[in-house]
Amino acid sequence: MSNENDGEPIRGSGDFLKDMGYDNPDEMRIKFALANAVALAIEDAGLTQQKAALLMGLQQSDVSRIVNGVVKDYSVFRLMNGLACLGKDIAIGVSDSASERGEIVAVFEEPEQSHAMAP
Amino acid sequence: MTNKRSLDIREVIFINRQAKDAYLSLPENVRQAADARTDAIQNHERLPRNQRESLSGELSGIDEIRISDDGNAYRVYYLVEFKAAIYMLDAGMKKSPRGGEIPKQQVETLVERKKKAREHYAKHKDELKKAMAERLPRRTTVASQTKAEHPLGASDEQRK
Repeated sequence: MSNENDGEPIRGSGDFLKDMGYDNPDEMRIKFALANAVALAIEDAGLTQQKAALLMGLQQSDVSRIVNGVVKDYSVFRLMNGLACLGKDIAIGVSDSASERGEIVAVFEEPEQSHAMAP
Repeated sequence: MTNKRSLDIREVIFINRQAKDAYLSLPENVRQAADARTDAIQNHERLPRNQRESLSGELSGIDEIRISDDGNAYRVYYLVEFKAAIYMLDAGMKKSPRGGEIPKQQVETLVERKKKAREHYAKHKDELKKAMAERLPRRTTVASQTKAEHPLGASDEQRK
């Protein structure tokens, strides 16, 4: 199976989720970030998905989907609420933007070193 | 070209057409899960330990992403060692019989593609960094208005 002759690397636009066809990439970026925060909170607390479902008032199948990042059909608020049930505070802050059109971003406080920086 | 509305830190580059096709043809839910992981990796977010493994030896520099769906296991491989881009190297259903080792053929493909990615990055480093520099201020400006410590503006030094 020789397959290394099929072309050059394919660059992205710098907005991956838009490139992947999401019509609301900014919203999806927030949903994915919240879902990952839920997954991390569950792992950091050593919870089973069953226990997490109980705390979050969700079905275990919902928790499984959220932990996997399959969250297109969940609202941002539902994900925030799930995170709050796991002991996280979520605040919405509004401030004047440096540009004409402002940005909507999620910022996470990580108590420990990000693993992305590990050697 | 670069979308100024975008807030991604690192650009996602598919190593070749075949790798991109493999990624795009993942089953729908797996694909969405993979998009979530890609988004996290390109933006330096931490992932749960059971979803990601940094490989070593001849595969060092490569992260393996694990996704389970409907009793099947899937893998996505990225070269993550660069500041301004990540390279998606391969994706698909896990082929090894059970647990353990990555099949020899998969390792060979990854080694070859890693080499290709390094060559590509060396050649395009400057323009990739320039494009990133245009995206980053939009993140850091917003983020600096919160008092949080965060990985949004991760620098070369931190990456080392």
